[in-house]
Amino acid sequence: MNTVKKVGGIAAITWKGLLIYRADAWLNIVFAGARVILTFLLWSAVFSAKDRIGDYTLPMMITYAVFSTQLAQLQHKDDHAWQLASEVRAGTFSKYLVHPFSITGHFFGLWLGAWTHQLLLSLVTILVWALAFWRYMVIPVNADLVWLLILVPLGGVFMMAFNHAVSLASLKFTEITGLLIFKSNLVEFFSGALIPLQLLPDWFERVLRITPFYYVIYYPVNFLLGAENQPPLRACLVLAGWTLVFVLAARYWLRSAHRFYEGVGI
Amino acid sequence: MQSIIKVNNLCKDYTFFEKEEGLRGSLRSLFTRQMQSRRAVDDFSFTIDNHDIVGLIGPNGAGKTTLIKMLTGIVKPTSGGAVVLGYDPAHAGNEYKRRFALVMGQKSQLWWDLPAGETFRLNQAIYQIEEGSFLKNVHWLTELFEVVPFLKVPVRQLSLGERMKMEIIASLLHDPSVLFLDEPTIGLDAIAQRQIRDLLRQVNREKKVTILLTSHYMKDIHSLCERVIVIRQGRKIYDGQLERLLEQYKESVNIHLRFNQPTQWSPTFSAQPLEMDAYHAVYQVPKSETQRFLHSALTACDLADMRVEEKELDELVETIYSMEGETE
Repeated sequence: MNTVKKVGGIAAITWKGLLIYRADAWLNIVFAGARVILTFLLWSAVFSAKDRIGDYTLPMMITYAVFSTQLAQLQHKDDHAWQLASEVRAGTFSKYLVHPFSITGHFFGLWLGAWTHQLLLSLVTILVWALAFWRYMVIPVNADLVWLLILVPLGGVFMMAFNHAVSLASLKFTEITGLLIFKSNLVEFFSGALIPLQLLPDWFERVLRITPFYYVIYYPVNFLLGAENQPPLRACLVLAGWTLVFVLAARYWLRSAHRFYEGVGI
Repeated sequence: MQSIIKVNNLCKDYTFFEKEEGLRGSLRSLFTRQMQSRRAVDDFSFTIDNHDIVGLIGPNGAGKTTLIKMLTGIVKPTSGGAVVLGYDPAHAGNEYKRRFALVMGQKSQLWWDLPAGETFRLNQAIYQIEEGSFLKNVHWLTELFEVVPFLKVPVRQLSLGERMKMEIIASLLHDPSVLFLDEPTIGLDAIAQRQIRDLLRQVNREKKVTILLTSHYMKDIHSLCERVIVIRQGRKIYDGQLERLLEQYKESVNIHLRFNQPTQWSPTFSAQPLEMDAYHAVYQVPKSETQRFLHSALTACDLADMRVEEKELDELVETIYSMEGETE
């Protein structure tokens, strides 16, 4: 109960921080759909000469693009990882070491605040888009969609744990900007945020199915489109399993790498 | 009185690499590096009693902050150990962390873009402070520190002095038993420094908080601490009463003389002239000779004025830092 209160307190103050600059807060809301419009223009141009690409029609591709771009913005929230790395470098990471709360719990709170803020923005964007361009939306409504209420947050929690574990490398190496950028590019590709994974060779897609990244963006969007035949329970189990792996890795790494931290800069 | 901080033979080594100068050195360091080790704290032992305010002083790089980092569990010692409030800081958990607070003058724990009140609320959640106790402490401390009008102002828009007061308030909300202060008055003007000192004294008196303070401003140390620990190159060179230490180094005084008429007077004993012209002279005189010097000057010269000046506090400390060996 106390942990929930602490995480909630940190998430709440993150929200307050995100809303303090009015211009930025409003611009985030207004321009959240800009990527969606650009994606629409891109795929409309590509489909002008073809009816189908792979198994995708234009409305399916647009629906995929709208949901995948919003889901990518949501699931690729890694501000907490960048913050941890920069605070280790500046020595301000020390403040987390003297607080009576776990480091992972603290950064989970920071992530939760940023993630729920983005979730609200993405839901508003999708709603506005769906109302304005309903002709291009293909959403088969069925009871299985309830799985998305588990899959999407689970994907977010996995990404948090993954990014957190990677960012802890800064305790040993101090400067890890290159690693974080490389990680972001790989995750964006493997999660299907750049292009649908179906467009890649079959063997590659099969390999990706044992990784968690497949289930972070690509799987939930295809599940929504009715184009996915893997059971959602399997997706949840894969995500939960990998989350556990990275939580334990972060825990182990934090304990053993603490000795490298010298608090230089304070 | 009960000792609540016990430090035994604490040592800390830091490793770092040396990079040769220039681009060639940068390229070479990509492949091979000369690692060096430096002892920041060396065989350090002391105890601090409950409710005391103790000053930890020493020149830059002496190891003061490293010592505080070890006592708060931020870094682990290379060897030796410490017990604070019955806990070993290197392995203590949240129970220990709830009982102390750390204020670093150069690093903020406040949320920069939000009013300090928001950080207070966050600390309430993190330290699990009951609502009644939280409100009572916020009220008492904000009144005491005279910052009530700034509670809704974003931290980045506060002055340095106001910000430091908020930092100290944030650190005291959970009623810590020990407060570690690392340069709390750094960069503050004289008025703000005095306010912070007065407030810390009051907090120590009323809340019975034990305080370990590092500061380069000797006025902080002189006004707050009866006892000081002097550290130089990681080693303890003095631990005891501040006044006794200062007395030890006040071996000479400067005596200013102003004459009514042009005078050329040379005292016959070991007084060293520092400045001299027809109407004015300054001598450095051993403390033991002060009385004899004044008597001699009064007899031999037509004096308009005379003034005995003791060494400035900072000047004394400079002497202490530069002395070789341990100070008794």
